[in-house]
Amino acid sequence: MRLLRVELRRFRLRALIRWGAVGAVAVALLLVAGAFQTSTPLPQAQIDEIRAQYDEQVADWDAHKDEYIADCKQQEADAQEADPSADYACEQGGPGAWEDWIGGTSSFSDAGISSIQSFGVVFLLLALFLGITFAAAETSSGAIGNWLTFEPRRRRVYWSKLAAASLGVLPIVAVALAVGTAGSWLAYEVHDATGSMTAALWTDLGWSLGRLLLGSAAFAAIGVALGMLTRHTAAALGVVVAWFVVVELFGANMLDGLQRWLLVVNTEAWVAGGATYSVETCTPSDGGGLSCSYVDHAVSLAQGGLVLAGLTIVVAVVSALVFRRRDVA
Amino acid sequence: MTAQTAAAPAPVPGATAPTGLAVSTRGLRKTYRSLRGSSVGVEGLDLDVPLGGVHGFLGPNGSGKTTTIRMLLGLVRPDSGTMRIFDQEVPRALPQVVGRVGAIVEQPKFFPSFSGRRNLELLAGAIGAEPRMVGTVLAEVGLADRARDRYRGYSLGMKQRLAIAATLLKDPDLLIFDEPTNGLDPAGIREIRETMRALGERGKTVLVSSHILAEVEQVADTVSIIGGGRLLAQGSVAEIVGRQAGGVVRVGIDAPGRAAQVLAEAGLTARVDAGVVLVDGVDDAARVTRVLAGSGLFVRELTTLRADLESVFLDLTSGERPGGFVPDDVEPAPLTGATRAVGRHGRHQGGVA
Repeated sequence: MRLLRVELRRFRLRALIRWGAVGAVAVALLLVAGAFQTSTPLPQAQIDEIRAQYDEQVADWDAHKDEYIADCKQQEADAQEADPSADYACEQGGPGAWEDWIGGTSSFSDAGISSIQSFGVVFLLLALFLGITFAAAETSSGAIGNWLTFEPRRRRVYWSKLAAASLGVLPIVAVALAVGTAGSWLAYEVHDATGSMTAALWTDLGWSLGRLLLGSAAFAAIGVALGMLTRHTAAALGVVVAWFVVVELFGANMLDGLQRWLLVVNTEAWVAGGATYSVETCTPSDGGGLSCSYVDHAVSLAQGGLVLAGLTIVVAVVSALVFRRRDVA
Repeated sequence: MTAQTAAAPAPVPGATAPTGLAVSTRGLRKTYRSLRGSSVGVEGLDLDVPLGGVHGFLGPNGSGKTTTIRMLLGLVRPDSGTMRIFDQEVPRALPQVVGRVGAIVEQPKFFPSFSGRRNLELLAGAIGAEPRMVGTVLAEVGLADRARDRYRGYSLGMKQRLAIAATLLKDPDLLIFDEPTNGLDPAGIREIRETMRALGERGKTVLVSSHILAEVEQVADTVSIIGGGRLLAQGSVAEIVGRQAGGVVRVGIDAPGRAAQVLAEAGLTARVDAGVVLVDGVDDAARVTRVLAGSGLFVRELTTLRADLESVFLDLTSGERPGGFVPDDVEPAPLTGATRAVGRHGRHQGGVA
């Protein structure tokens, strides 16, 4: 516990950590600004202008409806010569409903919560970065060698740093989430657009925020592990970027089966309580070609949590084993 | 090796029978491996550092001094061999003895963005030292006025002093200084030297590694000399210098060739060099005169060559590979003995026998 207290103090005293805290609050304020903008109703003049365009379209549709449908059906028939399944939905033409023209009204209960969860990923990345710099600063400066001449039990040294970073990011992320959530709610409330925030929705939001906090602790731990492994902040960030490019982007495109295990998908599932990903499925069509469509697959909250926990444990343990055996310069 | 008179620290529970040594290693070996091959850091090192006083750990750059110290402190894992500090086997028992060991390995390394005081406060917190100790040790090394400045703004001398202050937080019985005067100005060097001397006189054991002879000769009671990762000589300064110096006698004589032959027939190792005869391995110079007089040869001059520590050091370490690169398939050459006689490369001071 003594080591943990000292490491927590060092975490708190680091200038970069303080800047990170300021950055987290700044991101939260951006979230609030976005919520304010989204919930602001359109000015009456703009609504009038859109209404005029809408009326014009309705009049045009009423006047030329039969002609447009006939043209559409002709084009559909031409297309069906090559692809019998072609369907232009000609009967559904027209200007549509007025509500579609002015857009649905955003509310805190849907768009607001969704934005909080999306911005939450930024806080996870921030926690990762803070964990990396916390560990790598010590190894790259060589101060770890000096530290070990005072406390040679490497296992204790390692886990105290990991625990300190995980605990240290919690107040930072908690404050940022509190500012972002309360500020967003206020922004929607000002415009009377909080929507139907039922007790169940508040509970879901609370759990989601709690999972974000837990996730930030896990990401900070991964950051420390990477920092200790690579010994340089730049190298650790390089590993993170390489992971995203090679695995999350190219790997997912090349191997459909990989998508279920992507960090991005599972993190989203953990934060939002579930996630979906699409896989393109192609089958031979009657005309001899391929008929392709996207099929959605769900990733559960439980899977997201297990994948994140598993990744954290594996990276932390590998880094601990390396640190235990590695010569310190 | 001459035991020091300083008071021995209290025995540590679980320690083996007291050896009177602060540090001892046996068969210590460390090889650094890389894609290019391997490089021998330390090769079968048997090092003994007596309790109390200042022990110089000498060797050229790359001879294995820092590697040895890092292994003692648990920073580097040895390939084989054993190490003991205060009769406790390390690194296994390092947690038990580390509180009695203060060390500065190469350049001091602290958190650069923290002040000197804050760095020490963190270290004090890690070992459970009283917070007031921080102010005490800062004052002791003359850094109290600059304690709140960032470490990155310190001069090299101030960094060294901060590192010494850090070691004093533990009030250690053994202080290990690795090349402590590197980069210091003359005043800083003298300051460090006086600090080491004072610590030694207070009964502490100071192990100071250096490649600068003058630095160590002035403060060390005992020395170990290593080269190429191997121990070349070990003992008190007087013993090592005296041991080597006792071996060579220079003889001025009219017939040096004949004299060398007579001496060789008498079992002495003699050679002619620049018109004089040099006789190696002589314990008693009078024996040389007796042998020569017995053959009707009379000396004009008989000089016992007396070495200083620097000449001994240069002789012992000349030709030693300083931790050089060795391909994987080449075994290092074995060492022929723990000490070697002063050779012809040594610088000697003359003295009439």
